[in-house]
Amino acid sequence: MARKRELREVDAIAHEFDLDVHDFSDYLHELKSSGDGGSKDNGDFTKTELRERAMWYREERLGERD
Amino acid sequence: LVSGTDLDTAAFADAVLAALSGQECTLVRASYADELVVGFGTLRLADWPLRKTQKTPWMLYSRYGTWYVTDGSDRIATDHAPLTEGVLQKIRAVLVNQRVLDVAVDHRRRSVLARFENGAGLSLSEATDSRNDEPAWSLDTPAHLRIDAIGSQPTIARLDSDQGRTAEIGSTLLHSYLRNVAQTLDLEIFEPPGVRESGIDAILAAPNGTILLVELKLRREPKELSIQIISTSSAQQIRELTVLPAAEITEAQLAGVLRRIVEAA
Repeated sequence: MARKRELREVDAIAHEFDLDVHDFSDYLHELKSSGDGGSKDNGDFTKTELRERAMWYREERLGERD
Repeated sequence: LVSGTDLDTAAFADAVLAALSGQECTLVRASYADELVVGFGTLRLADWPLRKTQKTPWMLYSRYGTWYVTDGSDRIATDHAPLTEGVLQKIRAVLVNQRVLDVAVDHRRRSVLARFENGAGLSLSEATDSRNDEPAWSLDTPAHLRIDAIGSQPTIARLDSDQGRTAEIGSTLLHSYLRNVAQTLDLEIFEPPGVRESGIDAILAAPNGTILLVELKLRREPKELSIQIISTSSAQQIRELTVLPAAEITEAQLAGVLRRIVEAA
């Protein structure tokens, strides 16, 4: 199932970056909803993109971006 | 010494979910990968860096499970179709502003069914192709506890609200929690230095001579919390911790349980 594959990838990246999985999923959903989604056909993120967004998330939370 | 038992997480989850009864559904939205999110209680904006996402004190996430919503007679939405804005609107029309009437839980099937006062229902359960280590659903509570429906014994983790992630093993948070409880009850607290060897995180001594040994168990994977209390005098009261009627193990509630153990001695 594609949905579960996406969830597994998000869970794995959230764990790798020590992020709350619910918050990180919501963050990705916000990005995708605002037209800043990933390069997959439906706007989902590749693993590389998920890692990049996880770094954004961490940096933004610490106030290092924007 | 009377030996204790690990926290019965299924019983604890039952108690927490029972406290959902009476809560008003205020939020129905999606998260990434078509995850259904249903919230109960006062709406607020999520913490930065989230910008538009709304949260509530109670948050139910569909995770890896299968789900459906009924309007009392028919299924109006399921996870078998994409979670579009149109589907979300249908769900909002039957759930939002409705209070939960009761909640039925089946830990063997990892299922939870919430019935609402208008007859609507929300069901989440494990999918047929589910893996035991992937939660069928997940519930965040106002006390910053997270229940994940993993296996027949759900896991319970304490969320660190500052960091937005689950607390680490032996965290200062948990020890300050214990110290506050001890202070409330006027118990002497001794925290042995060799926790790793003894497994005992704290020894509480009451003025009447009752000694309570407290063991906090936080595992990194899965991030799971259990509290074991070994009283020198009562085994029966140990179980009381596992069936707290309220939704949260707040300091006051743990203090109440410990007070009863001490007074029963």
